Amino acid sequence: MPEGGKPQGSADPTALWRQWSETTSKAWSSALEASKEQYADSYNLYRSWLKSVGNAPDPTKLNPLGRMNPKEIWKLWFDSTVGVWRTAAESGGDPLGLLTVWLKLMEDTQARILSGEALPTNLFAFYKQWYDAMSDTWAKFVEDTIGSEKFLEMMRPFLESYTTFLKTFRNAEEEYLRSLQIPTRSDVARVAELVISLEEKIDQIDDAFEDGYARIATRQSIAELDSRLGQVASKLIPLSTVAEKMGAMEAITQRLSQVESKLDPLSAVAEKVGAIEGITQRLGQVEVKLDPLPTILDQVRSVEGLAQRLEQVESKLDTLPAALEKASEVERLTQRMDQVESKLSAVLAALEKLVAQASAESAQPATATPRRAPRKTASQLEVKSSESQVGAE
Amino acid sequence: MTKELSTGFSIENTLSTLKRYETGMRILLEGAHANTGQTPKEVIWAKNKAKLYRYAPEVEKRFPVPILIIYALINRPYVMDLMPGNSLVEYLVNQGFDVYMLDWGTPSDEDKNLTFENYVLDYIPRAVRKVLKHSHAEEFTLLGFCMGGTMSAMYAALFPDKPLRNLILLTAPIDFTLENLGLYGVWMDEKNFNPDLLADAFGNIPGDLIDTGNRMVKPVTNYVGTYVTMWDRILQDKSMDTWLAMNKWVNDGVPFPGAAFKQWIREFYQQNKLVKGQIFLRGRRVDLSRITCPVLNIAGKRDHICTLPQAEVTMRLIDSKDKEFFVLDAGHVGLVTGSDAKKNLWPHLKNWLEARSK
Repeated sequence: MPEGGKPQGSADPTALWRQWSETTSKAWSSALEASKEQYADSYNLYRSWLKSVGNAPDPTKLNPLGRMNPKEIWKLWFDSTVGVWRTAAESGGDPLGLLTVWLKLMEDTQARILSGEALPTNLFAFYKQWYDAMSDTWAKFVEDTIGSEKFLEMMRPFLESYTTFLKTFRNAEEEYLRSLQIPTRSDVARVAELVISLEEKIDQIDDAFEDGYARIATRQSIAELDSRLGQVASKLIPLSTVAEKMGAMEAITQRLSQVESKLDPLSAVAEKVGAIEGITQRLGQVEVKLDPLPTILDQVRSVEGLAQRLEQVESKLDTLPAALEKASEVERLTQRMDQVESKLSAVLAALEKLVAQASAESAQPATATPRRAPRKTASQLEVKSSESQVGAE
Repeated sequence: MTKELSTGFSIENTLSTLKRYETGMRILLEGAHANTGQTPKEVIWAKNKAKLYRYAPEVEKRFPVPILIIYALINRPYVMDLMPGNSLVEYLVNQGFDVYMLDWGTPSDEDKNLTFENYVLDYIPRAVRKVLKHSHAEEFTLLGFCMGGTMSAMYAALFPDKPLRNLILLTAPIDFTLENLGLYGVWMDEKNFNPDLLADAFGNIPGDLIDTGNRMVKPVTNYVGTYVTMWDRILQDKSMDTWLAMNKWVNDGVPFPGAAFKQWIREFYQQNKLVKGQIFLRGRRVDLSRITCPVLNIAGKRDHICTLPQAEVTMRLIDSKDKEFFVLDAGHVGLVTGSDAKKNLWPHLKNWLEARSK
């Protein structure tokens, strides 16, 4: 507003407000009278206030310099407003007694402000001074009010009716949308609950991995696995060759096939699930089982050598019947030799006996010594006996 | 004191005043905008709406024991990392601590059946696993704020052994004796308030409603005083950063899952079961005397959301040999942010942790 000026004519907002208030109040009053109900006519209060403001002396006339005196403005406003409120409170328009307390607060505030220094002309500074002056009292009043049994008694039915209305309204909305085949918020919430359950399951799997039941397959672990599989495969190649020759190898081949069949899906699973440890252990077992294979192969080769040697032995044995025939002949000869030897022994014994008799005879002196026959040599005797035996045969 | 403007008319003064009023009106109409939670962080685990943040250290990690911050189910956790220079998280990270925080996110309709069983037995233990794995640590420090402190205490009672090394309770309500709760005590009385009504009607209790409840404890301060301060700062050309950040946080409430809300009001406020050792989570009794680890219990003298007696009782209930009750002349939020927090709480917290994080 320009300094020293006052709104003129129809542009005066106070006049416009007054006009609007009159019109509205009349309309409301008519409506209320028609319904024969008793309501507090807030517009009447407002109209009275506007009237008092309109009747207030022009502040510019109070100050010859045309400057607004804040204290005067405050006093004018306070006198014109509080008077109306007091009238309203006294006429029974304040069932909770709030207006009475408010008036008391206002009067206290007025006393504080007016007893202080000159009021600032700045709107905010004025307001802040007012707030600082009365905030504690105001706060206590509000807190006492909202913490009072009377307030809570009012709130209980309000809360009950409000929540009942809200629940009923929401249920009706749901039913209506459902009848139109339109998904509702609760439908979306149900889907979201499913997603959350899925998340929970993923978390549980994640926990299982972290607990060491499995590990994530890394590039390195897969490469290691691949390399070890290569080693296994290289060991399996000679094994299959040997298995063709040896029946015992069939069982191993079958088991290896089982291992391979288990390894195939495992390697695929390992990429995602990473159950490397179990596979590694099993591979280790396979390797342990495969380690003695070279020795077995050597043994197989030695068996082959033995077979050759057996063949040689067999070939040698083939000559045995002829040899055995000769041997039986030898045996017979031996037996005959034994017989000859026994005969010769008998001859020798007879000869010795004879010799002994002869020597005994030669040892007798009285008797005429017989002419000594020349002694035969043993060899002569043997020849003779042999001849005699031959002759006997 | 407000700067008195010149009573004389001048275009410069008028324009300047108008500019200030425009700033104020813009805030009132559009709400407060501020860049909050700016300490660099990464999400290391997420489940449903919950996210586990790990704050990126800008200095070398000095302590092997990581800190896991558990925030409340109401309001947003960025009050712990409000803005650069006024952030508890930033301070701890810069001191060489490995800091993690569990942000519960914004619950939606599908979360209305979540209960404290879910939070204490499912989410927190899993977050703990993730923290330990990520930090390659065997032990950790649990720091709970407000209701997050109550949940942390319950976790500590149910899992008292390793890996829990230290427990820090920041303005954590444990005793809900109504006489100690001021206006809350009157409102929460069973004869005045039935939580089922709200939970059944809303599903999740709207954040605005929770905020209103909290603000009504100090209605004049919260609804009028805040804006008086705002205008005062604007008209005196003072920095608005902290005011904007705080106002944004205050108005940025999240819904409270209905089932958890019912539990919170019924079992904690109205029946005060936690102190009596009568809280059971999936059949497991929450016995606070099982807490034996070192405990730092912090409370504010001017806190009207968690009053001193509510927090103090913890000292009597736990069985820790190494325990301390640290009281500051601060309110619920002023405890962790602002100049007083920087001067009093943060250094104390650092010193306490330093000795117990090696």
